[in-house]
Amino acid sequence: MNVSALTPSELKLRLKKTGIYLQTGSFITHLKTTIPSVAKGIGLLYADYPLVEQDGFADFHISLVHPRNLRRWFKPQVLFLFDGNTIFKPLPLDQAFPMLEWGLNWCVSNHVNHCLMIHAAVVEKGGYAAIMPAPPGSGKSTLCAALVNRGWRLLSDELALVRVVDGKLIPLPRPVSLKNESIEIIRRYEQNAIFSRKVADTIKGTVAHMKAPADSIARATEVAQVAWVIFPKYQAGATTCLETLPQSRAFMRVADNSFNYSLLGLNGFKTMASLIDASLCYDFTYSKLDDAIEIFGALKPQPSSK
Amino acid sequence: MVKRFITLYLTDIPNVIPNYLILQALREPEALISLSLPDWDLLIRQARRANLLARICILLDERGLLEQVPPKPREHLEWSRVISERHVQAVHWEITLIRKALAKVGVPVILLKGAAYVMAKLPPAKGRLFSDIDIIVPKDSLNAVEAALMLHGWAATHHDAYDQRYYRTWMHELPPMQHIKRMTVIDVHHAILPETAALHPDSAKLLAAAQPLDGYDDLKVFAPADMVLHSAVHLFHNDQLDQGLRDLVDIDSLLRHFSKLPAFWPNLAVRAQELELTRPLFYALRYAVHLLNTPIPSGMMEAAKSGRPNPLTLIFTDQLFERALMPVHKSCSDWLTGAARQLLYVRATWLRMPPLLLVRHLFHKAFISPKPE
Amino acid sequence: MKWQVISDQAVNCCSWDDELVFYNKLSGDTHLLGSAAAQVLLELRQSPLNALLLTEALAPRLQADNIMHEEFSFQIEHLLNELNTLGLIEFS
Repeated sequence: MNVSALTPSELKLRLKKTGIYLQTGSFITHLKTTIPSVAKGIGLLYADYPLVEQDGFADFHISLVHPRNLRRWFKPQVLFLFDGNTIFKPLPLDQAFPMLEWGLNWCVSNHVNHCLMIHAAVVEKGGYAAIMPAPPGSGKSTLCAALVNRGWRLLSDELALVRVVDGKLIPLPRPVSLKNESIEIIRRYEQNAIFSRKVADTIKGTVAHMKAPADSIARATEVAQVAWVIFPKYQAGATTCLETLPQSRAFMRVADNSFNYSLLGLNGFKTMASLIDASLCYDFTYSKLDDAIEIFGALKPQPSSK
Repeated sequence: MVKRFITLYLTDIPNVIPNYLILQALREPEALISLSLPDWDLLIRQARRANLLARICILLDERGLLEQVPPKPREHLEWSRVISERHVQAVHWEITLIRKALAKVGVPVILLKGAAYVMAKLPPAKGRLFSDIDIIVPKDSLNAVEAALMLHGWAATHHDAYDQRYYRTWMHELPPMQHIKRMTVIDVHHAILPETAALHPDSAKLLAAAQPLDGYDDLKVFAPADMVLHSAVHLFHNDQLDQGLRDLVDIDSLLRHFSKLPAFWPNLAVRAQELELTRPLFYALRYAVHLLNTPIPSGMMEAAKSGRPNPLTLIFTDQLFERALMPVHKSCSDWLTGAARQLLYVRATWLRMPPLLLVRHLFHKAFISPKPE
Repeated sequence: MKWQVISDQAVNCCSWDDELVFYNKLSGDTHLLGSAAAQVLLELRQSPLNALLLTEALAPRLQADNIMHEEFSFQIEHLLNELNTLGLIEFS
């Protein structure tokens, strides 16, 4: 059963009473909340995700609640609880849905250690995946949103999960986080894309989330082979430029963008080494999405890979 | 409630020994393979909160049972084991660097607690995560040790003048020092209890009995009985009980391991007397038996009774500890748990300081220390 | 007294082009070694050498035309110290 099988009021009630067991990629999250904006966001952006209630096991138990303090009367807030524990400082109530998204990323990036986790977007086409690691502000999510609206499959816009045992990329397709001007850029770029309500004044500016393509969600168990590591950089007015990056340098930069490279020790090193070995590595500067899509369309994997 | 207290008083053991999943798992890991998925769900949450998830993974693996755990919970166990493996590597490296830094000071470094368990490959080290390296050195070489560490990149963490004075005047350790590049923390002790505490285990006796660590000429660890006693002191005089169950697991694990040594139990009883630590030992044995079924010879239990408080106090502390030693998780709490933790915080602080100082300290903590938002 | 690669430390490294990425098993740190440092390490991995012999072995490959021999041997000494600090080689 998918989330969409519940009516909005059923979903709201269930989130309030027992919580839902939501499957995203290979993880199951038990989510409880009484906050209407969260229920609404789930109904909209997670409509196509499976609900799994029969097992009674969840990877992460989370809830979004109102903190018990006086501020609730004049400046309401929201608190993200991981199994009853406060993880982040409370945020204004208006930011409850973005907070859920950030909290879900936190759950994965702080626990999952059978994968090398890289702060990166991952897209795939024709059996080959591109990992796009990048610090915030590089236009990684914008490029990712554009690509997945033009035939690329979304594996993740935040977390590349590289399985330690075989180096395969595990999908975790969730809503794509867009901020500030990117929101309107992607709205114009793809009229049919579904967005959550814009939330202003967050720590990242104005944010909105775009629903993952249905096909990507349906293929959430299908692992992928990496072929490219691309560091995107949006630069207004720049000519599109794909520049080869020495693999040793790429290694260090991907490691810098990893959540658990150091934690995995020797396994982290080995996984990273095979990842880089199997990849062509590039710096990519772009200003026009159409040009970027064209360059991505022309990417060829290393002759030896797969 | 009254009736319950009476029953307790008469039978001398708590009538309700908690039977949380986490305790069952620690007592009898073999039984875990029959757990249902919802039980696994709960156990993993309790164990994660108690910082014992990696330990449970290793206990199962040693028994060849990990493969029989359903895939989902097994994944969580293995995730935590990754952290504990990397932790062991980091501890070894940190100790290598500490040895380098202290090479010229000329005193042997005695490792305490987690660091000692890891380096001596003792069973409590299995899956144990800890943030600081604790060492103890003779009091008269404190200055030399501090200077050598500073020369090698460690710096004092408590810059506040009150905190500095608090540590240097009343505590049994230097203010924690943090390495400026690696951010690792070392606690340098000269005693196992503060100077202000009511109990005064003689550091000289502890240092004199310390044993060289296999394969090192500059590292030592406490003798077996002393190690158990220190672990007990740490647990029952600590104001932070959120790692309480983990600390009790240390004690349980040390006792099971050292019981194979020929004269361990008689030594332990004698040593507790010598070091004036009969009370913490009594509590350690009592709760290890109650909560973790630690096998302890009846003669030892008899001998430990010299450290037993009066019956009323005991009823009270049983109620407190058997709550506060549980993981801070809603499935391991009742309506008294919060109060129990509070009371034990005050008790621990009380035991470490004379009353007037306590008032000053609590006052200072409450009103002056900057609080993190 | 010769410089040598600390045993086991030579195992976990990858080279791409003329650079080396090195995993230090003891510290858990990863280091990127530029071509000169990589050459030093590879040379020492073949056989332990003192600084003088190492400098002689590397000069034909690494010494630029416009620098003096003293300066080059100073550079090699410097690299050896760096590698020593990183815990990759030892002097014994």
